[in-house]
Amino acid sequence: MEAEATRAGLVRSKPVMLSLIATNPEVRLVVPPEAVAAAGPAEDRALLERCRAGDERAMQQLYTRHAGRLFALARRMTGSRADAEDVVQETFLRAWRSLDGFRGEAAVGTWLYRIALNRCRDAFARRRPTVPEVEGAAPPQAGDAMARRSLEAALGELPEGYREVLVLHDVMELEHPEIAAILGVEVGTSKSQLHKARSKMRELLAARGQAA
Amino acid sequence: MDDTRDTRCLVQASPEELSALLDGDLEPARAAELAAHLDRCPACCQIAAELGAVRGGLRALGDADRAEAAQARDLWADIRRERRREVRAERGEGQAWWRRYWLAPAGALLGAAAAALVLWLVFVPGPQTGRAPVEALTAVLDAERTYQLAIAGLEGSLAQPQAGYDSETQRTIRQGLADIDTVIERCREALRASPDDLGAHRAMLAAYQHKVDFLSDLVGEAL
Repeated sequence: MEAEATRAGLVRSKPVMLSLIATNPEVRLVVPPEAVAAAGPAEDRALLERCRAGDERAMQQLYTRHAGRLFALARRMTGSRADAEDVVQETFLRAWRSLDGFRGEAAVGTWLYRIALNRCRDAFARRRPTVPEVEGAAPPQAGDAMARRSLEAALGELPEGYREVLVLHDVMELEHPEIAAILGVEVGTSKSQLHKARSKMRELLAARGQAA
Repeated sequence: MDDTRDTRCLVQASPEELSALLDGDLEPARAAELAAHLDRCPACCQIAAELGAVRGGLRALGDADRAEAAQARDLWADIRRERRREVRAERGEGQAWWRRYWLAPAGALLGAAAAALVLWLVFVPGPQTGRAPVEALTAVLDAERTYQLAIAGLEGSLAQPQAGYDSETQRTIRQGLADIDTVIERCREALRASPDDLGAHRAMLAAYQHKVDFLSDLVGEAL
Protein backbone atom coordinates (compact mmCIF):
# COMPACT_ATOMS: atom_id res chain seq x y z
CA MET A 1 0.00 0.00 0.00
CA GLU A 2 2.84 2.33 0.85
CA ALA A 3 4.51 1.59 -2.45
CA GLU A 4 1.24 2.24 -4.24
CA ALA A 5 0.85 5.58 -2.56
CA THR A 6 4.43 6.42 -3.44
CA ARG A 7 3.78 5.60 -7.06
CA ALA A 8 0.68 7.76 -6.89
CA GLY A 9 2.95 10.61 -5.83
CA LEU A 10 1.33 11.00 -2.47
CA VAL A 11 4.20 10.16 -0.15
CA ARG A 12 5.62 13.60 -0.52
CA SER A 13 5.42 16.42 1.88
CA LYS A 14 6.18 18.97 -0.79
CA PRO A 15 3.29 20.77 -2.40
CA VAL A 16 1.05 20.61 -4.41
CA MET A 17 -0.70 23.03 -6.74
CA LEU A 18 2.04 22.62 -9.27
CA SER A 19 1.89 18.85 -9.17
CA LEU A 20 -1.84 19.04 -9.60
CA ILE A 21 -1.59 21.35 -12.55
CA ALA A 22 0.93 18.94 -14.01
CA THR A 23 -1.74 16.27 -14.11
CA ASN A 24 -3.98 18.48 -16.18
CA PRO A 25 -3.12 17.78 -19.82
CA GLU A 26 -4.27 21.25 -20.79
CA VAL A 27 -1.69 22.90 -18.61
CA ARG A 28 1.84 21.65 -19.33
CA LEU A 29 4.49 22.96 -16.96
CA VAL A 30 6.87 23.97 -19.67
CA VAL A 31 6.18 23.20 -23.28
CA PRO A 32 9.22 21.81 -25.10
CA PRO A 33 10.72 24.58 -27.21
CA GLU A 34 10.36 22.56 -30.41
CA ALA A 35 6.62 22.47 -29.80
CA VAL A 36 6.58 26.20 -29.23
CA ALA A 37 8.32 26.76 -32.53
CA ALA A 38 5.10 25.71 -34.17
CA ALA A 39 3.08 28.15 -32.07
CA GLY A 40 1.38 30.57 -34.39
CA PRO A 41 1.84 34.30 -33.96
CA ALA A 42 -1.87 34.77 -34.66
CA GLU A 43 -2.75 32.49 -31.78
CA ASP A 44 -0.33 34.37 -29.53
CA ARG A 45 -1.97 37.63 -30.56
CA ALA A 46 -5.41 36.24 -29.74
CA LEU A 47 -4.16 35.12 -26.34
CA LEU A 48 -2.70 38.56 -25.71
CA GLU A 49 -6.04 40.17 -26.49
CA ARG A 50 -7.68 37.86 -24.00
CA CYS A 51 -5.01 38.82 -21.45
CA ARG A 52 -5.88 42.47 -22.01
CA ALA A 53 -9.49 41.63 -21.30
CA GLY A 54 -8.39 40.27 -17.93
CA ASP A 55 -8.29 36.56 -18.79
CA GLU A 56 -5.64 35.16 -16.48
CA ARG A 57 -5.83 31.77 -18.11
CA ALA A 58 -4.76 33.27 -21.43
CA MET A 59 -1.63 34.61 -19.75
CA GLN A 60 -1.00 31.15 -18.38
CA GLN A 61 -1.25 29.77 -21.91
CA LEU A 62 1.26 32.34 -23.14
CA TYR A 63 3.54 31.30 -20.31
CA THR A 64 3.13 27.64 -21.20
CA ARG A 65 3.92 28.31 -24.85
CA HIS A 66 6.98 30.50 -24.35
CA ALA A 67 8.52 29.79 -20.96
CA GLY A 68 10.69 26.96 -22.26
CA ARG A 69 12.35 29.02 -24.98
CA LEU A 70 12.81 31.99 -22.68
CA PHE A 71 14.35 29.78 -20.02
CA ALA A 72 16.77 28.32 -22.57
CA LEU A 73 17.76 31.82 -23.69
CA ALA A 74 18.17 33.07 -20.13
CA ARG A 75 20.06 29.98 -19.07
CA ARG A 76 22.60 30.52 -21.81
CA MET A 77 22.82 34.28 -21.41
CA THR A 78 23.17 34.31 -17.63
CA GLY A 79 25.00 31.01 -17.18
CA SER A 80 22.87 30.14 -14.18
CA ARG A 81 19.69 28.16 -13.73
CA ALA A 82 18.59 30.29 -10.77
CA ASP A 83 19.16 33.52 -12.69
CA ALA A 84 17.32 32.03 -15.66
CA GLU A 85 14.29 31.31 -13.48
CA ASP A 86 14.38 34.88 -12.19
CA VAL A 87 14.57 36.20 -15.74
CA VAL A 88 11.59 34.12 -16.88
CA GLN A 89 9.49 35.17 -13.90
CA GLU A 90 10.37 38.83 -14.29
CA THR A 91 9.76 38.67 -18.04
CA PHE A 92 6.20 37.48 -17.66
CA LEU A 93 5.50 39.90 -14.83
CA ARG A 94 6.77 42.79 -16.95
CA ALA A 95 4.79 41.61 -19.93
CA TRP A 96 1.67 41.32 -17.78
CA ARG A 97 2.16 44.83 -16.40
CA SER A 98 2.65 46.32 -19.84
CA LEU A 99 -0.02 44.56 -21.87
CA ASP A 100 -1.44 47.89 -22.94
CA GLY A 101 1.99 49.00 -24.13
CA PHE A 102 2.25 46.19 -26.67
CA ARG A 103 1.51 47.86 -29.98
CA GLY A 104 1.59 44.75 -32.12
CA GLU A 105 4.47 45.88 -34.32
CA ALA A 106 6.31 42.65 -33.53
CA ALA A 107 5.15 39.14 -32.78
CA VAL A 108 4.26 38.43 -29.17
CA GLY A 109 7.13 35.94 -28.97
CA THR A 110 9.56 38.57 -30.24
CA TRP A 111 8.25 41.02 -27.66
CA LEU A 112 8.78 38.48 -24.89
CA TYR A 113 12.28 37.71 -26.14
CA ARG A 114 13.09 41.41 -26.08
CA ILE A 115 11.92 41.77 -22.49
CA ALA A 116 13.82 38.64 -21.48
CA LEU A 117 17.00 39.82 -23.15
CA ASN A 118 16.86 43.10 -21.22
CA ARG A 119 16.45 41.15 -18.00
CA CYS A 120 19.38 38.92 -19.00
CA ARG A 121 21.58 41.98 -19.48
CA ASP A 122 20.77 43.09 -15.94
CA ALA A 123 21.36 39.62 -14.54
CA PHE A 124 24.62 39.19 -16.43
CA ALA A 125 25.86 42.57 -15.25
CA ARG A 126 25.14 41.56 -11.66
CA ARG A 127 26.73 38.17 -11.94
CA ARG A 128 29.38 37.74 -14.58
CA PRO A 129 30.54 34.14 -14.37
CA THR A 130 33.93 33.24 -15.77
CA VAL A 131 32.86 29.64 -16.22
CA PRO A 132 29.09 29.22 -16.16
CA GLU A 133 27.49 26.37 -14.29
CA VAL A 134 27.30 23.12 -16.17
CA GLU A 135 23.99 21.62 -15.18
CA GLY A 136 21.63 19.15 -16.68
CA ALA A 137 22.65 16.05 -18.56
CA ALA A 138 26.15 14.80 -17.88
CA PRO A 139 28.43 15.09 -20.89
CA PRO A 140 29.15 11.69 -22.39
CA GLN A 141 32.93 12.15 -22.66
CA ALA A 142 35.57 14.20 -20.90
CA GLY A 143 36.59 15.76 -24.21
CA ASP A 144 33.04 16.88 -24.89
CA ALA A 145 32.82 18.35 -21.42
CA MET A 146 36.03 20.30 -21.93
CA ALA A 147 34.83 21.60 -25.27
CA ARG A 148 31.54 22.62 -23.73
CA ARG A 149 33.18 24.45 -20.85
CA SER A 150 35.54 26.21 -23.25
CA LEU A 151 32.64 27.29 -25.42
CA GLU A 152 30.72 28.55 -22.41
CA ALA A 153 33.72 30.40 -21.06
CA ALA A 154 34.44 31.97 -24.45
CA LEU A 155 30.80 33.00 -24.77
CA GLY A 156 31.08 34.71 -21.41
CA GLU A 157 34.08 36.69 -22.63
CA LEU A 158 32.40 38.01 -25.75
CA PRO A 159 31.20 41.60 -25.88
CA GLU A 160 27.51 41.75 -25.03
CA GLY A 161 26.29 42.48 -28.55
CA TYR A 162 28.27 39.61 -30.03
CA ARG A 163 27.11 37.22 -27.35
CA GLU A 164 23.47 38.11 -27.87
CA VAL A 165 23.44 37.61 -31.61
CA LEU A 166 25.48 34.42 -31.37
CA VAL A 167 23.20 32.93 -28.74
CA LEU A 168 20.05 33.94 -30.60
CA HIS A 169 21.30 32.51 -33.91
CA ASP A 170 23.61 29.59 -33.20
CA VAL A 171 22.27 28.46 -29.83
CA MET A 172 18.57 29.36 -30.05
CA GLU A 173 18.56 28.82 -33.81
CA LEU A 174 16.43 31.86 -34.57
CA GLU A 175 16.37 33.35 -38.07
CA HIS A 176 17.90 36.74 -38.77
CA PRO A 177 14.59 38.60 -39.32
CA GLU A 178 13.43 37.62 -35.82
CA ILE A 179 16.83 38.37 -34.31
CA ALA A 180 16.81 41.76 -35.99
CA ALA A 181 13.35 42.45 -34.59
CA ILE A 182 14.41 41.39 -31.07
CA LEU A 183 17.58 43.49 -31.13
CA GLY A 184 16.02 46.41 -32.98
CA VAL A 185 18.54 46.36 -35.83
CA GLU A 186 18.49 45.71 -39.57
CA VAL A 187 18.71 42.14 -40.85
CA GLY A 188 22.05 42.93 -42.49
CA THR A 189 23.41 44.19 -39.19
CA SER A 190 22.31 41.00 -37.48
CA LYS A 191 24.16 38.94 -40.09
CA SER A 192 27.36 40.94 -39.98
CA GLN A 193 27.36 40.96 -36.18
CA LEU A 194 26.90 37.20 -36.17
CA HIS A 195 29.85 36.54 -38.43
CA LYS A 196 32.07 38.90 -36.44
CA ALA A 197 30.94 37.21 -33.24
CA ARG A 198 31.62 33.73 -34.58
CA SER A 199 35.04 34.83 -35.75
CA LYS A 200 35.74 36.33 -32.33
CA MET A 201 34.67 33.06 -30.70
CA ARG A 202 37.15 31.22 -32.86
CA GLU A 203 39.89 33.60 -31.72
CA LEU A 204 38.97 33.20 -28.07
CA LEU A 205 38.99 29.44 -28.37
CA ALA A 206 42.33 29.60 -30.14
CA ALA A 207 43.70 31.67 -27.28
CA ARG A 208 42.49 28.95 -24.93
CA GLY A 209 44.10 26.33 -27.12
CA GLN A 210 40.80 24.58 -27.41
CA ALA A 211 39.04 23.82 -30.63
CA ALA A 212 35.26 23.67 -30.44
CA MET B 1 43.87 26.87 -34.60
CA ASP B 2 46.53 29.44 -35.49
CA ASP B 3 45.28 31.95 -38.02
CA THR B 4 47.66 31.08 -40.85
CA ARG B 5 45.57 32.77 -43.49
CA ASP B 6 47.41 36.09 -43.16
CA THR B 7 50.80 34.49 -43.78
CA ARG B 8 49.98 31.82 -46.29
CA CYS B 9 46.84 32.96 -48.12
CA LEU B 10 46.71 36.03 -50.27
CA VAL B 11 43.01 35.82 -51.12
CA GLN B 12 40.96 38.47 -49.34
CA ALA B 13 38.82 36.03 -47.40
CA SER B 14 38.29 37.12 -43.84
CA PRO B 15 37.01 34.70 -41.20
CA GLU B 16 33.82 36.79 -41.21
CA GLU B 17 33.39 36.07 -44.89
CA LEU B 18 34.06 32.39 -44.38
CA SER B 19 31.46 32.37 -41.63
CA ALA B 20 28.99 34.00 -43.98
CA LEU B 21 29.84 31.37 -46.58
CA LEU B 22 28.97 28.64 -44.07
CA ASP B 23 25.53 30.18 -43.50
CA GLY B 24 24.87 30.89 -47.17
CA ASP B 25 24.84 34.62 -46.54
CA LEU B 26 27.18 35.61 -49.38
CA GLU B 27 26.23 36.78 -52.84
CA PRO B 28 26.30 33.78 -55.23
CA ALA B 29 29.26 35.06 -57.23
CA ARG B 30 31.40 35.68 -54.15
CA ALA B 31 30.30 32.37 -52.62
CA ALA B 32 31.40 30.51 -55.77
CA GLU B 33 34.72 32.33 -55.79
CA LEU B 34 35.41 31.48 -52.15
CA ALA B 35 34.26 27.88 -52.54
CA ALA B 36 36.70 27.43 -55.40
CA HIS B 37 39.42 29.02 -53.29
CA LEU B 38 38.76 26.66 -50.37
CA ASP B 39 39.39 23.72 -52.70
CA ARG B 40 43.01 24.74 -53.05
CA CYS B 41 43.79 26.62 -49.81
CA PRO B 42 44.30 24.41 -46.74
CA ALA B 43 44.75 27.44 -44.48
CA CYS B 44 41.36 28.96 -45.30
CA CYS B 45 39.84 25.50 -45.29
CA GLN B 46 41.09 25.07 -41.71
CA ILE B 47 39.60 28.39 -40.65
CA ALA B 48 36.27 27.49 -42.23
CA ALA B 49 36.33 24.14 -40.46
CA GLU B 50 37.01 25.83 -37.11
CA LEU B 51 34.18 28.29 -37.67
CA GLY B 52 31.93 25.37 -38.52
CA ALA B 53 33.02 23.66 -35.32
CA VAL B 54 32.12 26.79 -33.34
CA ARG B 55 28.69 26.83 -34.93
CA GLY B 56 28.21 23.11 -34.33
CA GLY B 57 29.35 23.36 -30.72
CA LEU B 58 26.95 26.20 -30.02
CA ARG B 59 24.08 24.28 -31.57
CA ALA B 60 24.92 21.36 -29.29
CA LEU B 61 24.77 23.77 -26.35
CA GLY B 62 21.36 24.82 -27.58
CA ASP B 63 20.18 21.21 -27.64
CA ALA B 64 21.34 20.80 -24.03
CA ASP B 65 19.63 24.06 -23.02
CA ARG B 66 16.36 22.95 -24.58
CA ALA B 67 16.55 19.61 -22.79
CA GLU B 68 17.15 21.45 -19.52
CA ALA B 69 14.30 23.87 -20.23
CA ALA B 70 11.92 20.95 -20.62
CA GLN B 71 12.75 19.97 -17.04
CA ALA B 72 12.67 23.49 -15.66
CA ARG B 73 10.63 24.37 -12.60
CA ASP B 74 7.15 25.64 -13.31
CA LEU B 75 7.04 29.29 -12.29
CA TRP B 76 3.45 30.06 -13.21
CA ALA B 77 2.06 29.86 -9.67
CA ASP B 78 4.74 32.29 -8.45
CA ILE B 79 4.10 34.66 -11.33
CA ARG B 80 0.34 34.66 -10.81
CA ARG B 81 0.65 35.15 -7.06
CA GLU B 82 3.03 38.07 -7.52
CA ARG B 83 0.82 39.68 -10.16
CA ARG B 84 -2.25 39.35 -7.96
CA ARG B 85 -0.36 41.07 -5.17
CA GLU B 86 0.68 43.85 -7.53
CA VAL B 87 -2.88 44.37 -8.75
CA ARG B 88 -4.21 44.56 -5.22
CA ALA B 89 -1.48 47.05 -4.32
CA GLU B 90 -2.20 49.13 -7.46
CA ARG B 91 -5.84 49.29 -6.46
CA GLY B 92 -4.80 50.28 -2.96
CA GLU B 93 -6.76 47.35 -1.61
CA GLY B 94 -4.08 45.88 0.58
CA GLN B 95 -5.54 42.81 2.18
CA ALA B 96 -9.28 43.05 1.54
CA TRP B 97 -11.45 42.68 4.62
CA TRP B 98 -13.44 39.87 3.09
CA ARG B 99 -10.23 38.04 2.21
CA ARG B 100 -9.03 38.32 5.77
CA TYR B 101 -12.48 37.20 6.90
CA TRP B 102 -12.26 34.21 4.60
CA LEU B 103 -8.67 33.32 5.35
CA ALA B 104 -8.98 33.41 9.14
CA PRO B 105 -11.28 30.38 9.37
CA ALA B 106 -9.35 28.68 6.58
CA GLY B 107 -6.16 28.99 8.60
CA ALA B 108 -7.91 27.73 11.72
CA LEU B 109 -9.26 24.74 9.82
CA LEU B 110 -5.82 23.92 8.51
CA GLY B 111 -4.53 24.07 12.05
CA ALA B 112 -7.23 21.66 13.18
CA ALA B 113 -6.39 19.31 10.33
CA ALA B 114 -2.70 19.37 11.19
CA ALA B 115 -3.51 18.70 14.86
CA ALA B 116 -5.63 15.72 13.87
CA LEU B 117 -2.74 14.36 11.87
CA VAL B 118 -0.50 14.59 14.94
CA LEU B 119 -3.13 12.72 16.98
CA TRP B 120 -3.21 10.12 14.29
CA LEU B 121 0.53 9.62 14.48
CA VAL B 122 0.22 9.04 18.21
CA PHE B 123 -2.44 6.39 17.74
CA VAL B 124 -0.83 4.45 14.92
CA PRO B 125 -0.48 0.85 16.18
CA GLY B 126 2.86 -0.80 16.48
CA PRO B 127 5.60 -1.74 18.90
CA GLN B 128 6.41 1.93 19.62
CA THR B 129 2.91 2.73 20.89
CA GLY B 130 2.16 -0.64 22.42
CA ARG B 131 -1.46 -0.30 21.37
CA ALA B 132 -3.51 -3.24 20.23
CA PRO B 133 -4.45 -2.94 16.55
CA VAL B 134 -8.23 -2.70 17.07
CA GLU B 135 -7.95 -0.17 19.89
CA ALA B 136 -5.54 1.88 17.83
CA LEU B 137 -7.74 1.71 14.75
CA THR B 138 -10.68 3.09 16.71
CA ALA B 139 -8.53 5.98 17.88
CA VAL B 140 -7.27 6.57 14.38
CA LEU B 141 -10.77 6.66 12.97
CA ASP B 142 -11.76 9.17 15.64
CA ALA B 143 -8.82 11.35 14.64
CA GLU B 144 -9.81 10.93 11.02
CA ARG B 145 -13.33 12.14 11.72
CA THR B 146 -11.93 15.30 13.31
CA TYR B 147 -9.67 15.72 10.32
CA GLN B 148 -12.50 15.18 7.87
CA LEU B 149 -14.61 17.86 9.54
CA ALA B 150 -11.76 20.35 9.27
CA ILE B 151 -11.05 19.44 5.67
CA ALA B 152 -14.71 19.66 4.68
CA GLY B 153 -14.88 23.17 6.09
CA LEU B 154 -11.76 24.19 4.23
CA GLU B 155 -12.95 22.72 0.96
CA GLY B 156 -16.20 24.60 1.39
CA SER B 157 -14.26 27.83 1.87
CA LEU B 158 -12.22 27.25 -1.27
CA ALA B 159 -15.38 26.66 -3.30
CA GLN B 160 -16.70 30.09 -2.36
CA PRO B 161 -16.54 32.83 -4.99
CA GLN B 162 -14.38 34.82 -2.59
CA ALA B 163 -11.60 32.30 -3.08
CA GLY B 164 -11.05 33.88 -6.47
CA TYR B 165 -10.74 30.72 -8.58
CA ASP B 166 -12.47 30.52 -11.92
CA SER B 167 -14.65 27.53 -12.71
CA GLU B 168 -11.96 25.74 -14.70
CA THR B 169 -9.45 26.01 -11.87
CA GLN B 170 -12.07 24.87 -9.38
CA ARG B 171 -12.75 21.84 -11.57
CA THR B 172 -9.02 21.06 -11.57
CA ILE B 173 -8.89 21.47 -7.79
CA ARG B 174 -11.87 19.17 -7.32
CA GLN B 175 -10.28 16.56 -9.56
CA GLY B 176 -7.03 16.75 -7.59
CA LEU B 177 -8.86 16.33 -4.29
CA ALA B 178 -10.88 13.43 -5.72
CA ASP B 179 -7.67 11.68 -6.80
CA ILE B 180 -6.27 11.97 -3.29
CA ASP B 181 -9.56 10.77 -1.80
CA THR B 182 -9.43 7.70 -4.03
CA VAL B 183 -6.10 6.70 -2.52
CA ILE B 184 -7.39 7.43 0.98
CA GLU B 185 -10.42 5.23 0.38
CA ARG B 186 -8.22 2.36 -0.79
CA CYS B 187 -6.07 2.71 2.32
CA ARG B 188 -9.21 2.67 4.44
CA GLU B 189 -10.38 -0.54 2.78
CA ALA B 190 -6.97 -2.09 3.42
CA LEU B 191 -7.18 -1.08 7.07
CA ARG B 192 -10.64 -2.59 7.47
CA ALA B 193 -9.27 -5.87 6.16
CA SER B 194 -6.06 -5.66 8.15
CA PRO B 195 -6.16 -3.10 11.00
CA ASP B 196 -2.54 -3.67 11.99
CA ASP B 197 -1.19 -3.03 8.51
CA LEU B 198 1.37 -0.39 9.40
CA GLY B 199 2.10 0.30 5.73
CA ALA B 200 -1.54 1.13 5.11
CA HIS B 201 -1.57 3.48 8.10
CA ARG B 202 1.48 5.27 6.83
CA ALA B 203 0.13 5.51 3.30
CA MET B 204 -3.17 6.89 4.55
CA LEU B 205 -1.39 9.40 6.74
CA ALA B 206 0.78 10.42 3.80
CA ALA B 207 -2.29 10.87 1.63
CA TYR B 208 -3.94 13.07 4.24
CA GLN B 209 -0.70 15.01 4.67
CA HIS B 210 -0.64 15.55 0.93
CA LYS B 211 -4.18 16.84 1.08
CA VAL B 212 -3.29 19.27 3.86
CA ASP B 213 -0.27 20.45 1.85
CA PHE B 214 -2.42 20.88 -1.20
CA LEU B 215 -5.07 22.88 0.61
CA SER B 216 -2.38 24.92 2.39
CA ASP B 217 -0.99 25.86 -0.97
CA LEU B 218 -4.38 26.90 -2.23
CA VAL B 219 -4.85 29.13 0.81
CA GLY B 220 -1.35 30.50 0.20
CA GLU B 221 -2.33 31.19 -3.42
CA ALA B 222 -5.23 33.28 -2.25
CA LEU B 223 -3.10 35.36 0.09
